[in-house]
Amino acid sequence: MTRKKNLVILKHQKFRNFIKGYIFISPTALILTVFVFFPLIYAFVMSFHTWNMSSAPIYTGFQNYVTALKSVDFWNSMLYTSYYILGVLPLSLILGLFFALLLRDSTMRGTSIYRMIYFMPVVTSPIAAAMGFNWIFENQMGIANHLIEKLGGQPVSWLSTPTGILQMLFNHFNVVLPKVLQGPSLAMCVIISLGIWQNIGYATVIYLAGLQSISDTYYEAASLDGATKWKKFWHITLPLLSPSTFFLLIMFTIASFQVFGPIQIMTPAGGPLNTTSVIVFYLYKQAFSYYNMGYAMAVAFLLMGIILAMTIFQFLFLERKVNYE
Amino acid sequence: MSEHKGIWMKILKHSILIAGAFLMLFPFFWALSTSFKSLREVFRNPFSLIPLHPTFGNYVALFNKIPFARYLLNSFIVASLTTILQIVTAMLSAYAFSRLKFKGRNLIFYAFLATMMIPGQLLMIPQYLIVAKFGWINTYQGLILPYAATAVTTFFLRQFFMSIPKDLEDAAVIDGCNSLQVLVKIFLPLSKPAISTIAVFSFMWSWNSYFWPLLIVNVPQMRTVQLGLAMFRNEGGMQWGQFMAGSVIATLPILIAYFFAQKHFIKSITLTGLK
Repeated sequence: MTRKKNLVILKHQKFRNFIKGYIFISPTALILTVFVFFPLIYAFVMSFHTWNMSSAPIYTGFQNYVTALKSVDFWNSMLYTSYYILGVLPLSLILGLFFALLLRDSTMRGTSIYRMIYFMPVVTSPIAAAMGFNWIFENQMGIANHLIEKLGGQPVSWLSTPTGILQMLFNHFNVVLPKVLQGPSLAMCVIISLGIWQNIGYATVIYLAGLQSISDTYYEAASLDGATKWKKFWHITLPLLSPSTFFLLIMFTIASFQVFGPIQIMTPAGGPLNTTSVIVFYLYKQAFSYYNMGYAMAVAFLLMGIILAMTIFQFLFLERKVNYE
Repeated sequence: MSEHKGIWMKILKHSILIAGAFLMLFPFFWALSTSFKSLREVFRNPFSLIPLHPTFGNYVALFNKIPFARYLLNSFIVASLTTILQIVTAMLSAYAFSRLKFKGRNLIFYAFLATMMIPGQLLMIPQYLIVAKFGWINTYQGLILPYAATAVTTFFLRQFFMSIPKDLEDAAVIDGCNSLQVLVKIFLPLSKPAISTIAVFSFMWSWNSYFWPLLIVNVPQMRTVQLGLAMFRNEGGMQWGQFMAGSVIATLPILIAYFFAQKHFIKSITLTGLK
């Protein structure tokens, strides 16, 4: 009798928990459904339509994807995005690691002050930071050109020179490089330097935490074996830091693919000869200047596919090399 | 001998670190310095770090020429409400995911987690179309509601809730508290560090966001600080003093929050990798 009663109570309890669970998650679920899941499906469906917002969408199959993959502008924007990523990633990681190694010494004074200062650019709004860099690299009154002139050089049109930096180098030898090898334009280099400036502090903090978790016993054992500082760095520090490196690599790649605000501030028209028109900038123009909505959503899906593929690639091939102790 | 070497090593390290700190701080100083220069001084004497005739003129102009006060107010409203809503929604769902057993819980949890993998800006076109359909262009709800709940905050709080011992709430349940009361009376005070971390991050993220306001705001009085600043830059010509004054004000609230919360802030970044 009591057993049966208990069972009923248990069932009742289970049902109540079921209802309660769904009530508790409903606000989050509602927001994510309306603003993430639904848009995802909607964008996927619309990417197979031609739609300029003034007339009804027309189903055109894979046409948007084909158009994008055949479009020179699309591939150029991918190239400029790659320049940005290849410029920002290595230097952010190397400089972040460099400063973290300097800060690691526990007998050093002021570690927390340095760390605090290095982290300031990370919390700064990209728009305000882009304004600051824009002013530093202004053609006539910018402090960068002023310094160059003081050192006896020629002022540089930072944000309006379309020539790639590698091409500039090869101009001295009268060699014209193929487009892919010409390198980022000076304007893009300024935007890259802003990206690095905003990333270093983050990398430093992550690396510092990674360094602090490496046990001293490894170094002591290596010292007994007579390892040099370099050897210790290559064979202990670097491998044991690989989880931090891996994490930073993924975070910075995903964020770099989406750079937009600074581009719009420093080069509102997409830069000299469109050389700063990265993929999100291209997407934005297609959607909100030309109203090619279906096309823009196809581009968004291509980009999402690329980011996903890169993340999976990083997980599959790089994580093997990551040493989780 | 080796002690001697150690001192030189330390001096070398400090000089490199100070050089690094200088590079990190220079854009801040430079913007601050320019913001106190008159238009004349900017043109005649753009390269002095200390203004010869410091003036508040740029800051005054910022509030007279464009509705900068309104932009600030908008940003404060949007960032604070977004933060509060994110905390409330995350607390509710994190409680359900960590304490309640119900059918489909794990499936839904993983579906939530999967949204973290989607780069935000790529969904903004359909999001824009939906918000337009709701008639929320140029409204606070349009700026706030799409970000009122996120998977990251839910996940972060859930992890924290999992670490809270069960005995605490059992006592409260015996005393006759329902789940909502347990959440407010037991979980809320215990998870203050986690919640304040989320608060700082959400506020900072919302305050600094630019792409979404750019899409759904097209009247000056609804612009946020970041959007107002960007538009001002596009329309304002060569007013570098005023641009820098605007950048300084747009950065200040976050920097102040950062200084107060920084120890805590950096600790939670290293623990969770939040950004």
